[in-house]
Amino acid sequence: MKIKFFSWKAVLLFLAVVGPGIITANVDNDASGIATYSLAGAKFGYLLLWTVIPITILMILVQDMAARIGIVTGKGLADLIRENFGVKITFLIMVGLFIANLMTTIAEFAGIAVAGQIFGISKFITVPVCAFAAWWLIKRLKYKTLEKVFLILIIFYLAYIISGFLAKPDWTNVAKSTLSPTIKFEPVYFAFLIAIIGTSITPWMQFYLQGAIVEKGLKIEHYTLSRIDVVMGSIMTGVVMFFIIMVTASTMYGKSDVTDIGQVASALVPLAGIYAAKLFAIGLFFAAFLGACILPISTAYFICEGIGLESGINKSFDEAPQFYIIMGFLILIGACILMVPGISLIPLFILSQVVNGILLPFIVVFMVLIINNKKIMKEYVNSFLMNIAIMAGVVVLTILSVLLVITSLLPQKV
Amino acid sequence: MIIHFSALKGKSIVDVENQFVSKLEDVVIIDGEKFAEVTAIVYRANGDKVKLPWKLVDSLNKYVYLHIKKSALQPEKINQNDILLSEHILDKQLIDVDGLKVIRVNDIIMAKVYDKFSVVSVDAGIKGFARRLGIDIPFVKGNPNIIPWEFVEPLQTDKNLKLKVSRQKIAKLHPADIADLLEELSPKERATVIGSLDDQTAARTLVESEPDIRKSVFDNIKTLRIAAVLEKMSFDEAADLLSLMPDERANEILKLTSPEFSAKIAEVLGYSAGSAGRIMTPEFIAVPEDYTAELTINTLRELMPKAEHAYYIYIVNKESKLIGVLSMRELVTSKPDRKVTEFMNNRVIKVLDKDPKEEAAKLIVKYNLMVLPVVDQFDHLIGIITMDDVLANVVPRSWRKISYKKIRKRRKSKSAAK
Repeated sequence: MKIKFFSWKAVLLFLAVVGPGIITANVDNDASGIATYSLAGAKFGYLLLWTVIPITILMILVQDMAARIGIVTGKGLADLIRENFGVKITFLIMVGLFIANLMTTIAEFAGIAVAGQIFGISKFITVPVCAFAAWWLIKRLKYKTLEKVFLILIIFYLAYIISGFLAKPDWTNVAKSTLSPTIKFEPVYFAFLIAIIGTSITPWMQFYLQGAIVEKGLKIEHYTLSRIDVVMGSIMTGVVMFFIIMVTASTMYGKSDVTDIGQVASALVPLAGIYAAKLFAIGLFFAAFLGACILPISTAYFICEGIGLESGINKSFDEAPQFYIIMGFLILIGACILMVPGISLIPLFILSQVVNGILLPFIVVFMVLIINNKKIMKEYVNSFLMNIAIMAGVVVLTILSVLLVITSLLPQKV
Repeated sequence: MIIHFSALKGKSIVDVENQFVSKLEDVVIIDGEKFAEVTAIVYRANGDKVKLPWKLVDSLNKYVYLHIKKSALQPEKINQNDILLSEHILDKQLIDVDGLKVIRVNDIIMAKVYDKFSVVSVDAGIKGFARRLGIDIPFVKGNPNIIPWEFVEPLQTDKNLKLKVSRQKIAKLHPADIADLLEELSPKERATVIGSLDDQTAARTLVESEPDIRKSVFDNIKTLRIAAVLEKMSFDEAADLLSLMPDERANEILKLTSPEFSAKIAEVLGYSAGSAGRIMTPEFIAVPEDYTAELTINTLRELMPKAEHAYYIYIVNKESKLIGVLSMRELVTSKPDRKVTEFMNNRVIKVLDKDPKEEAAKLIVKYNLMVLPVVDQFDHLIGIITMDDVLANVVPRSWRKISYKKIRKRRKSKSAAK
């Protein structure tokens, strides 16, 4: 036997394991994420860039838990919550998840509308067409094929990195702001802080990631590779996030009062050129469309799984009525709200993050309880250090969520 | 009268003098074929779960009434082997072996059967779920999703419970139905189900499964077991499965099978996918040209071939070239001392090993054959293709699936009509 430093076998094995982490993390930079990041850049310049690093670390920690639970138990998160915390808690979480994901779906369609408008297409065309396309894709394709389509769509996130360079940022300033956190004691600053966290680490993605890992049938010997997958995905998310904040910070900060993501793109034209703006819109469109497909279907899966209802796209309406009702409802409402004349999009984005932000600490706590249960996880429970780190994260999240709820209840101009 | 476990759980237990004992937390059951008898009630005393025999229960109403005094109670500790309804069954997943799907136990329905208080069915419907939340939905359209206890089987990757409530209902299903069921399960659960089947049933089930399902099963069960299951398949089926695996794994598995088996598999695997050689079975009955009818029949007795190999007997010459064929009927109706060459058919319909499998299918259909011999380029007989092989290979897999599901549906609606 020869010892090789580089083996194709290892590469193939890695390719067989990757996917869940990278897809999940990238679907996370969805329309509401892009909107939030770009508004954060426009409002505060480079000031919020530092958040990218702690958020990426927290994302890695949380997703690593989801991956480990999925690998060890072979069960979805909704399953485990149901089996360990009973009916009532499951029901409350499912209701929370439904509302949060409905809000997020609406935000995805809003993203589609905005991206269309940048190209001069009315939302009364883009939104219904995309709603039908999403329904068609979900109905027509197998889940696995769908995932491959999504992996390809992820390439469009590169658009942000390119437009980041086109925007010619002030690199020394960028580096300084990234490495030295500056905290401003203003409600708006905190609102953005939590919105950025709320949109990058969502309750929904923990369910999704764990489900994808169970579905792939990953085993404990794949854990190291799966970890790499999770870390790579999270870093990709962080990088995209970083570039979006940077683009708007270097082009728009202090120049105009931007309140709408559509204005972000149009403001880009004179500052960074028409290509940067178009790339921005293309990235937004695919991110939003990806979310509009994945969110309804996975939400329907998780809810049916937790409650114990029939689910599956290969079943007929009669066999699994609730599954189709949930999925159809999300797409229909998501698209219809956008058709209401004169509706303002930004409050929708913010609302979706508030609901997600409130739900997240609960989900993470349940995950921590599950992962520390020796009966479920055997020797793969969390280490002491890991628990400390994650609990510190939960405390910060909870404080920020409470702050956010208070600030959003107080009348003010965001 | 039926009682929902959701209503029973949490009820106060009171003694004969209406003294409060504790709240009912769980019940112990003994699994039976059709019902599961409730044998004890469980409550907490000083933080530990303890049980009391069910025969101490006088009646169920607003409370659980005991017919002895609190001071006379002698609760026992919970045994390792006890099956607890709330802990082991409620909220867990079970397999509905009749509906061929995985269900979640939202509630459990109990009733008196032959004077014994028993579990009769599980509620997997939305009504049961709502009841647990304290909401009564008076009317739900469609299937209420209540499954009789006799049709459920635990789906626990947890070995403990598997042993406690082992019912082997799945093993009694048709392999094609088990294959349908596997689709509903996660990879880990699939391995558990396959693990509970005997080699023969496991082999048939895998043959009936979709390629991606087979792959997930193989990735999750031990190599030794795969080898044992493979040996129960016909060579072409086994070769088909092995070709889905990475070469290294396939070789590892083949090493664990018998030398004859692996040699024949290697032979079949030597043919390219889609060729007649790939779907053939390298097992057949051939006799030399100088045999008599009697000698041939005696040989058959000794060999005891499988049915599909004995529809026809092939005759080969000294260079083992295929020169004729006899049907079983022709053989047994002939005089014992006649030489096979005297009454065999010497115009044999055959297919070349390198020909496409569609060619084999055409020949079988055109000449109404049960079995088609396969020869190599030198006209040596090397294998046979049966009608089933051709059907399985030519008819799209989705056709077969649909028909199974339709048959089940029809059967179900018929029994419902009765």
